[in-house]
Amino acid sequence: MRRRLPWALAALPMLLWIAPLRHLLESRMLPHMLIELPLLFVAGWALARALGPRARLPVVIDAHGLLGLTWVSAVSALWMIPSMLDLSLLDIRLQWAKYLAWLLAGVAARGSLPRAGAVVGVFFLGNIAWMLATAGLLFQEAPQRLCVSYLLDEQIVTGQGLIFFAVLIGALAVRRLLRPISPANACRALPAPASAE
Amino acid sequence: MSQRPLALTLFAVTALSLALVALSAQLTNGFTRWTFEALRRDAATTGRLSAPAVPLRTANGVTGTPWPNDTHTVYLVDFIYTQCPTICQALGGEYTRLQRQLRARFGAHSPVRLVSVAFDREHDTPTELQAYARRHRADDALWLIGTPASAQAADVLLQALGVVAVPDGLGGFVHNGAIHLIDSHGTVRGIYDLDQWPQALERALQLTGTPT
Repeated sequence: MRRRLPWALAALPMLLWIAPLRHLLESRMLPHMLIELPLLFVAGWALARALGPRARLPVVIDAHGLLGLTWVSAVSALWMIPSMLDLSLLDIRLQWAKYLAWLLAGVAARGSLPRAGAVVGVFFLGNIAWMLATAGLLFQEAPQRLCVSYLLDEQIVTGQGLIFFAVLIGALAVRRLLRPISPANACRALPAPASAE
Repeated sequence: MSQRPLALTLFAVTALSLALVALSAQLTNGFTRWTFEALRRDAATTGRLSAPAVPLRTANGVTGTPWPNDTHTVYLVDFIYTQCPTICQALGGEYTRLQRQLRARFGAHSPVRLVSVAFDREHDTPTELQAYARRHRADDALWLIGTPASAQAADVLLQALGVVAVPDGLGGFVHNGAIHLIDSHGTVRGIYDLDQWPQALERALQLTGTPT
């Protein structure tokens, strides 16, 4: 059962082929931003877990998890831009780019976060939390609709949800900072011996 | 840790960051436009937005969008639904004023015409279109009011122009309540807010070569 769960979670994005379900998730702002995107991320994370080391970036370009975590930050930032949400509903290429980007963000996070030390991990998690909080506040304060596809009251509720996610990720960052570093974790942060010259 | 993996990582991170910054700049017109509506208006001012010709059903039968043609007429186009109690009625009121100005200046041979596209095909029946026209004293010679003749025609027109109508949960819609300035080739030359209708008219007259 424990072996099957990651595969089951990884297969979740397949449900997006079902148009009515996709429409249900994307026709309102809150499920679009706060359910669909995090689920894609979780599916990517689960996929990386199921695939094991094969799903990790080569350590030679991902020392300290920097490349993978940069990707995660960039994807999070890009999909906080209101026009991206509208465009993903109106342009099928961007729609599938969104699915792929968030899935790969989950894969990258699973592979790169364990490589990151406390400081690097907290830097990226803190950055994402700060960014979500900023977007959340903007969504709540904007006097007009930021997305033509969504109503103003949905935007305000989504802004509150983004703040919730920001606090959650901020708490994870603090937890990571306070966690004692085990020798095993410390070793994983280092590159493979073959590349250490 | 040796310096080589870190150097390669930093190189990869820099390359990825630059690529993503370039992509973001492209998607936001140089970090200046953050909403779809702002991008749409930018596209209109630079002539990158075109209105396809689609059949329209009016109170008097089926006709087509007045564009494309060779008359150099410019059209002020809005998107409405006849059951709308708010912005569409305000748009209708401003169109009545526009029509009055055009008729006073040009009679029935105005180089600027008005078009209202009703997008709620289920409820915007010929009878309702007629009632809307009567309510706003629309003159057939100056003001065309119609709904796309098929669902496909509606999708084609609205998607091409980026006009989105969202159900408001009360049986109505929230939608772009802007005036689109469309030339005789179907190219959108500008998008103006409702209260900017004098500027929309001025620009339309400029495009027709008529002194303002």
